[in-house]
Amino acid sequence: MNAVLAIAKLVIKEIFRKKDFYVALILTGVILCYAASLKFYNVSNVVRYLMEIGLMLIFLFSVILTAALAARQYPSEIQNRTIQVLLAKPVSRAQFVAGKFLGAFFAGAMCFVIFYILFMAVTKTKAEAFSFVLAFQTFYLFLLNLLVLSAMACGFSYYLTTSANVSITLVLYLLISTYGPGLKEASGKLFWINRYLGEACYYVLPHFEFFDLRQRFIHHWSPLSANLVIFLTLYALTYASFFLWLGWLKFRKQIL
Amino acid sequence: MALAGFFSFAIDRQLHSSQEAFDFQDALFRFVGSAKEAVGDTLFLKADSYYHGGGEMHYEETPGELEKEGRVEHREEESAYAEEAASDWIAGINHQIKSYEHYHLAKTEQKEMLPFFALATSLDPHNVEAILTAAYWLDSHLGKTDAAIETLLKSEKSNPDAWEIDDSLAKIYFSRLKNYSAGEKYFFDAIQKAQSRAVDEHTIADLYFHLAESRRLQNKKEEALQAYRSALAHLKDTDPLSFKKTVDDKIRELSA
Repeated sequence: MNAVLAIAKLVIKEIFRKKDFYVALILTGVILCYAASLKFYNVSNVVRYLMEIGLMLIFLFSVILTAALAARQYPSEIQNRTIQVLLAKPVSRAQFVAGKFLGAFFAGAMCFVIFYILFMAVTKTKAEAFSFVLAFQTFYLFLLNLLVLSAMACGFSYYLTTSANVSITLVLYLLISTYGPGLKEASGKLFWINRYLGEACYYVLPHFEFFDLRQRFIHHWSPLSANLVIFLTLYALTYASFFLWLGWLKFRKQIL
Repeated sequence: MALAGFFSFAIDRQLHSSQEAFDFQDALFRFVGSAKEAVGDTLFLKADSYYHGGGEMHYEETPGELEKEGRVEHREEESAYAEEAASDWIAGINHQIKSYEHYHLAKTEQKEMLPFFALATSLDPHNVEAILTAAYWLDSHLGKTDAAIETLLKSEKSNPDAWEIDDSLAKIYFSRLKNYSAGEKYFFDAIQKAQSRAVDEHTIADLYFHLAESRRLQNKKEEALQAYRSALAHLKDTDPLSFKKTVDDKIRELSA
């Protein structure tokens, strides 16, 4: 476990050493403050548009930062020839995969926590009241989203180059988040094998839209039931394990 | 090189000083470019979605239903969504996460639509429906009659042939502000514009009736009588008898 945490710590340090996070943070801060300062027809305390912009920005930046970080871990170890040094120590290949994944996930989660605190601080200046339960559920489910995403990028990193991995992970993420719910209905209109492929994608790929509670949070709907939250946690853990297993499957017998 | 640099700065300063002050709309226009009309129309639909609690509306509502605040039942449509939710477990979870029900914003929350009206009318100044809807909400529900008039006057310049804008302005002056001379002017303009386009006879009769009312309330008896007669001339057998009777009564009252 110590070896896994040590590898994870290095990954976490990496995200805060690079400028990407700070650029995203400053950009989010500037856009949020500017959006909060806008007044429409001199009416005060209009807040839902600000929540919508804010959540969209922090979700987007967190996803990009996490996917990019997770995707470059293994290829950069190969490129810099540091993997041999690392594996010469008492670190198994499974521990390496787990450590890289945990590091990428926690680094992405830490970025998201900072973005979310900034978002809540700006929103609180304008909002009269909002549900803290939903604020927490939105936060928690997006963490699960990052968990699946970082596992997916980590798993793919053993098969693909960094740029291909980042592109495929982000395209899959955006497509499933946007069109996931309607994929089955849309594939029903396709011909023969395409229909089966569409339906297979619908059932096999992780449904990232499950973790997006923005509509509920912004428009003051009731929180999700505890059972559903537990189910979604198990769903995220299953997919994360699957992607990591996929990565380990390739890496365990790879000649370095 | 230094001289070229000096000149480039001088030219740049000249270019910038000739432009209008940089404001929010400039930023939006630069960002969305020639797609601004499409973005504007999307934002107008977004305002509709906000009115319905963030959900997408798939069915028509009567004017009476639209005026209701809080939850509005549409049993047939909602049971159809429930059936769709039961089709497979992924759809079921999506139906629990994204709310497929809808409610109408309460009076205190209706201001949340304003950013989208402001942006939709700025980005697409030719979207008359968006302009009229924005003016309606500002005047009738948010008590911002001045802002409604300002929006309509501004959009009149972009849509000089739109009789609906004059009609809305006239109705605000007539019903809300009891400024009958301004109401008369805009009803008259609306009739001129409506007659040059293929507007139905009933609408023109209604405009004449309101023109006549504006004149009657200013004690312009002869002119009012003339407008009532014009209204009557545009009424057809298919129009409600009560309207025809009202016009007849008014003519009889003024002729006496």
